[in-house]
Amino acid sequence: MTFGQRLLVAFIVLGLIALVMRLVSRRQLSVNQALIWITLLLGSEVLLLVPGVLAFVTRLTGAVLPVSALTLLALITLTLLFLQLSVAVSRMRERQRELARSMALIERRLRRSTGAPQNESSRT
Amino acid sequence: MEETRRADRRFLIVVPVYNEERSIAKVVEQLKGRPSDCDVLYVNDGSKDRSGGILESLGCDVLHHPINLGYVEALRSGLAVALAQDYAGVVFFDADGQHRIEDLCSLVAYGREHPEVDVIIGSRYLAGQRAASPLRDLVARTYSVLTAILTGHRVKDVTSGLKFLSRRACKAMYGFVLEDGHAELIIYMCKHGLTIKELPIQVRSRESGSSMYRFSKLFLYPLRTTLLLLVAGFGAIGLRRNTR
Repeated sequence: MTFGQRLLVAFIVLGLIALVMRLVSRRQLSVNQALIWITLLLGSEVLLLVPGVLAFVTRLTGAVLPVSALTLLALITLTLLFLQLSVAVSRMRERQRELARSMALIERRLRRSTGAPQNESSRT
Repeated sequence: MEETRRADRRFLIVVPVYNEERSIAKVVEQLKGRPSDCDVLYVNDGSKDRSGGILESLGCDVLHHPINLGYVEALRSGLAVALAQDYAGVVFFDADGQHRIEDLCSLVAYGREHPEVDVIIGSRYLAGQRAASPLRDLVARTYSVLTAILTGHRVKDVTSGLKFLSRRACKAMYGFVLEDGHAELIIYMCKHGLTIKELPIQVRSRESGSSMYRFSKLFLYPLRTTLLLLVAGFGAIGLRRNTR
């Protein structure tokens, strides 16, 4: 990789880290998720910019070309990331169910205790 | 002791309702003929039609889910009420008008007289009936066999919506985080050591609304359920308990 290419990779990664930070500051990304992304970005930076690391990974995976090792690593990482996100979504769905049930139970209790009529618009 | 307690206490009929505006008034009328020791709770599972409003105008006891949570969650909400209000047991009754009040009465009577039985399932197959379509019939029978293989207990009508649950079974079911209220539930019940009994019932054909086994889901349902059954049967992730 030429010096110019390395510089470009460094800029792209730093830009992405800045984007992640911005999303956190806007409360559009949780800190936990941001930590995962920053770790991944820094990892890829080390892999691409520190001489010898990619060659070591290539030897370790038994790949012929560094690009094959890089693809394999990216595939594994993205699969794990996707699995982690799926687990998070499933967990959120479970919490949403519990929350909705609690709301319904509280509303029914309240209605029974006060004898208040229901908001018809919310029932149709 | 248990027999006396159960006979003295009341049962809760839980009716999960989702977009049943055409049939729900008939079901409410039908349920007026329920046994005197039974109360009814309608769980309006985020219906988009006028089901909730109709139930309110008829003076029914309704639990309104703010969003659609699904059939099993509607049942679990009914269980939450039954457990909190100390009911002796629960009967699940469909809101589409397919179930008969006579069958509900026979399930409650059997449950009252046999406290050793935890789950009573109304079975159309025991009464010589078949499912609405040959494909559904095949699906139901396949799951019956698969459930029998996984649990060693043959339940002929695993997709029946008419079920009686003792308080012990209610506690157990509320503790499970379920995706399917039929075959998966039966497997968990068996694994939990609960006694299951089937009684013959007659199921009427659906007059209106759409079945949860509608055509679009007919292909996804077997895949989902097979996975759930295998997970439940082999205990790959164990009994997932709701600790809340």
